[in-house]
Amino acid sequence: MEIKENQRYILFKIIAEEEIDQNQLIKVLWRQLFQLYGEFGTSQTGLWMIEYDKNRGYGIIRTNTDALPMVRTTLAIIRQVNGKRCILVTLGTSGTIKALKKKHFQKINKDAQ
Amino acid sequence: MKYYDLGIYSSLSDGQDEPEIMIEMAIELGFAGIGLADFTNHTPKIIKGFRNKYKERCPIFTRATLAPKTTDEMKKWVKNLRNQVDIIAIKSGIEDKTIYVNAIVDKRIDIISLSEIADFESLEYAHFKMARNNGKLIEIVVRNLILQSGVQRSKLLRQMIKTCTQIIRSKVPFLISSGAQSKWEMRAPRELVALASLVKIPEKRAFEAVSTHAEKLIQKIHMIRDPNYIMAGVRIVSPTEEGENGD
Repeated sequence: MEIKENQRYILFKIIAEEEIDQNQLIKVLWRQLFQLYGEFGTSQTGLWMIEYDKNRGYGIIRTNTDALPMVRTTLAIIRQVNGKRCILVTLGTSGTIKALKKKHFQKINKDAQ
Repeated sequence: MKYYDLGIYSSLSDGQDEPEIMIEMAIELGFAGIGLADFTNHTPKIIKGFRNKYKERCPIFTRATLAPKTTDEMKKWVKNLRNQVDIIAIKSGIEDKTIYVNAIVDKRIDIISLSEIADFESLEYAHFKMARNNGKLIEIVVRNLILQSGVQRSKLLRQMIKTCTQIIRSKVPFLISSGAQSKWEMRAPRELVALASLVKIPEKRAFEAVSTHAEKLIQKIHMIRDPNYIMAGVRIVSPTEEGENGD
């Protein structure tokens, strides 16, 4: 029987000098994770970019529940992507995308208006 | 819960960005107040102007971070600055521990700041215990954790973990601050807490460091700014206040 891992979704905001491409962000995220926690640590995270809106600067990442602190620390330590300086801010975490969006996207949409 | 970053450096001191840019970023990141160094070269009028402008959105506390080479130098600087700034922090970075010991017992100094690897190496458990007994705050600056990489970061992390374990054990109150010198080096409160987890600081203690302990220092600053304040434990009581207490 396959045991399903518990997953968490992280909603983050990116404040950057210029627009940041999704692929470049993913590359930097993996590189930083690898630098901080090594091959074994990185293998525990099950990291996956679910959504990324480069125009509005928001994204959702999926990770294993146990690896949540590792991913949050990695987001905090990133300071530039492809030479563009940036700050990643975690807005919230949840067990489902639906709950995450319900909780935070109303506020984001309000801010955008 | 309100969050504070009491260690921010703008172009007025070692930083690159203008104070306004740093303050606006602090507001965007969700801070309720910041400690901005170093206003010593500016007139009280400029400082007042800044304070009034951001009074509602993000109160500003002025700060001087001193790195004296000798104890006499420290005492001289503190004497000159105490009435000009809200917060005085000492960082030494040299092996002479007597500066830290004198800073810990000096009532005019608020914070012992640790940012470089040499700072973290300088202090031990006994110093933190002494700091706790003397009502001092220890400041853990995370800037170098963000900026360094590879072997350098690895060495810094090792020393920080060692020192932070002693800080936790000694129960001395501590702050976590970004030590940012540009707006891109600033981090949101939750990110500061996440970075603290790298050096084995429990989440609850890290949250206290960016909120409760900082708030206590701010209360002390407000108390000192009060025109009725004379010295620790002594303030002028108005007749009405006296009457109320008497009832």
